Amino acid sequence: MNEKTFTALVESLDSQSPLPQLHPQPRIIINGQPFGSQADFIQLWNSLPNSNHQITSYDTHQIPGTSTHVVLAHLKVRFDESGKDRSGQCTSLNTPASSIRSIWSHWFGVDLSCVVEEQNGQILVNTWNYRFAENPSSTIYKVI
Amino acid sequence: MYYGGRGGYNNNNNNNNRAGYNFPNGPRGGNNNMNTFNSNPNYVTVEIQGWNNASPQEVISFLNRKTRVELFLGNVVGNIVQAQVKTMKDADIIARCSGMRFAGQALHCRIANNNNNNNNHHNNSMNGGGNPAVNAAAKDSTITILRNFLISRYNQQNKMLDLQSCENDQVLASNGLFSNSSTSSKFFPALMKIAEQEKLDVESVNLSGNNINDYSKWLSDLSHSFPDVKNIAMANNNVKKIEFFDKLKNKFNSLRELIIQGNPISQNMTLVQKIVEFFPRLVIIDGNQVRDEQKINRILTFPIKSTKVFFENEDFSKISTTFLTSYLNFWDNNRVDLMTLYTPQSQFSYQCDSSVISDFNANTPTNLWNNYTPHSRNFKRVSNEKSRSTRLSIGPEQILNTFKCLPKSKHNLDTNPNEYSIETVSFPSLNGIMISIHGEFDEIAQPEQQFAENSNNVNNRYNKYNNKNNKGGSLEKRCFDRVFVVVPGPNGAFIVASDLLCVKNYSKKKSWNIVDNNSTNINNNAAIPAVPTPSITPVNNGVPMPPMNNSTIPNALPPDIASKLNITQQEIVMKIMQETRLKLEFVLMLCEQSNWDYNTAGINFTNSKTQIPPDAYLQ
Repeated sequence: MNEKTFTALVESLDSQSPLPQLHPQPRIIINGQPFGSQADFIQLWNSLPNSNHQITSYDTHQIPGTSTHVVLAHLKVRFDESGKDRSGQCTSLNTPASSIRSIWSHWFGVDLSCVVEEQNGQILVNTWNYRFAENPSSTIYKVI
Repeated sequence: MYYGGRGGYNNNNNNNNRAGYNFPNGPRGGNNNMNTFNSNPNYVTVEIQGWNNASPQEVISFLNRKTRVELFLGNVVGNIVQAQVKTMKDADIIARCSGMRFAGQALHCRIANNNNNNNNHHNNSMNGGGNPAVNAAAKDSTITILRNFLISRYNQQNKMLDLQSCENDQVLASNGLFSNSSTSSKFFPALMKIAEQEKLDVESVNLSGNNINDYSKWLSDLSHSFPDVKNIAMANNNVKKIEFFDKLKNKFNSLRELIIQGNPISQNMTLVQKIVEFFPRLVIIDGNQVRDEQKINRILTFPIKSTKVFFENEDFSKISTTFLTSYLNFWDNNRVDLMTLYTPQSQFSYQCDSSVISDFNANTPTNLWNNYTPHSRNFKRVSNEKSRSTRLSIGPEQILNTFKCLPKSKHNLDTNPNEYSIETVSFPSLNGIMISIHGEFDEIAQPEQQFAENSNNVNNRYNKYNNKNNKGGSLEKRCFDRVFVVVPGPNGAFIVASDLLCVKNYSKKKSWNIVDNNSTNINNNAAIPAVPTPSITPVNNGVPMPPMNNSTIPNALPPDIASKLNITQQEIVMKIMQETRLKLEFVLMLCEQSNWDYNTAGINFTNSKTQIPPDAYLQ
């Protein structure tokens, strides 16, 4: 799986349509907790504040004789701490979300391992194991 | 005040000076200066030794004559005479009399370390000048005053620290803690330091009425000691500028309520709104609700809490913990023995990630990654296809070669499991499982061998300075992630089809440690779609896979066997039995065939492993 494809996959986490290449019955584990369907995952992801994912390192093995790729990656991610989520809800009682400027958190470290099928240039994510690994020492956004 | 000094006393021309000295309560010189003891909490107590050849009254008179300091005779405890003087400076003068000859002895004078020995001239200690011994005693005294003040202002039930109008506190003021700008500026940092030492549980702080202005650092000091404080009242101060709060961004990440009324800035609603923006968890300012607290908790907290381990089903729990414990044990002790897990199709590669997420250390050694960079397969750094290809080890021979080029390590999965997290899911296309582990390890020795020089460094940013010296990388504590795709092999043994390792900077703040470590998630019903369970079972046949403990391995050899072996041979037998888990008779056979050479025995064991019957192993 080339870097462009994997980067696009990770960057989709920052969009309204996260992981569009998810298998209909994927194995999704987030922070050690299994997650139901693709729809559940998208619903969850859209309740988050805006995020910014960056790949700091990754490596991949193609299982011989198959089109299956195993990927191990380390990411860093930060979140908008201004108090608004992707769906437009915000914490402020006086100010609309649209007029609140983003305040980015410090970076969190994320370990990602995934299994991806690649056929005819298209990819399908079978397994997505996403775990926060490192927390910044000071943060408003909390990962617990 | 001490004007004369000892030199002045011996100067016959200094009489004017003496005549000008004003004692408010007593005459100069002679026994008249010896006052009766009437313990005054605001006076400073001094202790005098070495007076025994005369009376206590005489030594007090002597010191008065020599120093012109008014002393009040107190108790005599054993060979110590206690006296009081009015000020710390007077006490300092008396303390300097140590060594002075009196009635054939040397006097020893010191300031007593008690809670009441301070006065209006306490700034001597705050300024840090004068006799070090005196300063140390005065410092202790100041700490005591601050600690008492702190405790008197702390409400444990409400977790409230009420530091309102500190300058109006009589004890603080009478001890000179606000006598000048220097002592005033040291007051609050010192108070916060003591509060930290006392480990007070503080949620609310009242700093009202403290003349806090735009340049005051009280809030900054408070944030260092109590960054998680939820409520701050700082009414009736003198903050005018928004920059005061701008500097506090990210310093009170849990601040829920703020009171700023009575400050000029509170009159400007535009600036008040900006203050609200600086503290995203702020709900109430000056009694007005500005945010929805429920939404704060929802939006500013990641909705899925971390659990340390996940196993898709119960079987995977046993398989993966057994596998990982054994694997890491061999990884730490004898990587050669892991080769039975790898087939000619097995793949291994590692990547090192030097990015710093938390725990930034400015003193990072320059050779931090030297042991890893030569063959790191981090695709973000290594873009050349040929380089990527050469950094992928395929088959036992290449894999072992790479293993030997990595530093020797020590994992603590069995002794410190909280530092690790594990997920195991099925891998249906190979009828296997995928085991992910995250955690830490210590590097304990340099690699057994170095990577061979290779010329495939095109586009390798690590070597852009053509630095071929990859020897002697620093040995560190590090974090890592590792993913194994494990498939069933012959006779039910494990085979590692794919092995990916990521080595990272060490981080203390592991996300899964911030939560309840007891939470374990096995086959959560809400979760992963059902898949056929792989038929892997943990067996030892052909694989060096010891159980989770070594309880079946004897701690010592039977006496009849031990008596026939020298100490070195006994050690070899025990070591090989530990590492191979062979029964004693087979270990003895192996040792004899290897001429009692440990390394040869290891090679012979590896070579003949497939022919060793299962019952040759300890159960």
